[in-house]
Order: sequence, then C-alpha cells, then structure tokens
Amino acid sequence: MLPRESQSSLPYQILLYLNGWYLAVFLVVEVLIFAFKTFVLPYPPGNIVAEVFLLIFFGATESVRIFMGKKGNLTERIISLVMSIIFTAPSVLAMLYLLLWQTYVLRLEVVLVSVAIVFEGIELLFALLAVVTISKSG
Amino acid sequence: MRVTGLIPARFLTLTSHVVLLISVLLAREENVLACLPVDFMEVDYRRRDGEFLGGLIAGLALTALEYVGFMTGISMFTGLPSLISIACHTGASISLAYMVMDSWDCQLYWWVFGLTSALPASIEVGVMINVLMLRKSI
Repeated sequence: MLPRESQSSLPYQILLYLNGWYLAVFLVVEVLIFAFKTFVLPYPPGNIVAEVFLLIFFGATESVRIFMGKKGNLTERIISLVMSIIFTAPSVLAMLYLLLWQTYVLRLEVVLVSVAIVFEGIELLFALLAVVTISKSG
Repeated sequence: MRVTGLIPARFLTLTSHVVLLISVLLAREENVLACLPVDFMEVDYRRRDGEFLGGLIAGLALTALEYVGFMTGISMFTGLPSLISIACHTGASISLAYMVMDSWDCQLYWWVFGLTSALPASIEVGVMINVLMLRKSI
C-alpha cells in the first residue's frame, strides 16, 4: 500500500517560517524604539514598565502561536492548529495596543505593526484551510 | 558550495525596504519642499508631489513583484540573484533612512529607485522568464 499523501500546507509553512524571522527583527526594533522613546519623550511614571511587559507577553504569545502552527501543520494534528488559532486573539490584541493605545505611537511602529497584522490575518486564513483539509482527509 | 541563510536575509531586507518606502510616503512633505525653490507656486508643489508619489508607488509595485517571485518559490532558492537582491535592498533601506532623516532632495530618489528597485526587479523578471517560460532551472 502506498503511503498516504501529505495534507500539510506548504504556503502556510512558508508564511510561518518567514513570520518567525519577522517576529525576531520586530522585537529587536521595538526594543530600540522603546529606548529611543524613553530617552527623547517625557513618559508618565509606570507606563513604560507596562509597555515593556506587554512587549514580552506579545513575544511569548507570538512564538507559541508560530511554534504550534508549524508543529500542527507538519504533524497534521488539528489540536495544535486550533491552539495556534486561539493564540492569534491575544497577540492581535497586543498589536492593537501597540498600534492604537500606546503612550506614543511612532510612524515607523504603525507600518511595522500593520505588516505584522497582515501576516497574522493571512496565516489565520491558511490555518483554517489546513484544519479543513486535514479533517476532511480523516 | 551551498549558500545558506539567504532566504531569511532576503525576506528581511525586502520587508525593510517596503517599510521604509511606506514611511517616506507618509512623510514626503519635507522631501518635496527640499527640491522646490524658495518662492514656489502651489502648482509646482502639486507637480513635484505627484512625481514623487508616483515614484514611491512604482517602487512599492516593484517590491510587490519581487515578493510574488520570492514567495511562490520561483527565485527562492537561487544563489546569485538572491545575493544581488539582498545587496540592493540593503542599500535601499540605508539610503531611504537617510532620505527621511536628512530630508533629501526628491530628485535624488530616482537614483535610489533605479539602482535599488528597478535593478533587482528586472533580474527577478529575468529569473521568472527563465524558469516559467524557458523551463530552465537556475
């Protein structure tokens, strides 16, 4: 008997791989932007601490989301893909905070966060497609 | 010799080029003022602004073309075209950052456009023709 054809989605895997690299550079740039903002702009006390913690939380959820997506796609497990889809929600909320409700939003941050949100939207679509194909094949 | 690590490097330099193009597009007023005489008319400003905006959108379109070739895998695993593309987009990112910081003359953008957007895009088109129409493997 021939081995069953693989149901993993290649575009989804490419996007997750590239998003991992984008996330790493995004976090580095965001830390540098925070350093710049604390040096140049007057911050109300406590805000910067909250925002740094939010950035750490964002990095953690994003890496979990990307890891779960990669693993679920390669091993064709729906449960990991669903975990990845669930983890999309907190990371989108964190990005919306960075985009809209931060103390100071730089123009560069608007562009960077928009690129990340576009990534996340396309990946959500591909994750749903992957869940459908894997559950159809049984 | 196998060249490794080109894929993330190329993706990240392409993305930084796009991010900087959008940043220049959102903050182009100073660059347009820098290439006008001291006593300029409203019409001159409109014309220069339109030219500059057209150039920036053309640059974005060429990077989009390169994204298509890269993401679909046509030129993802090429050696020399990837290296040229990485070099061009790195140069583009650095010079566009200077363009925003030092408010360069908007005429200088055309040099950046020619050397760092049009050159890698034409190489990309060459690779696409070779792979898709002539069925060569690069």
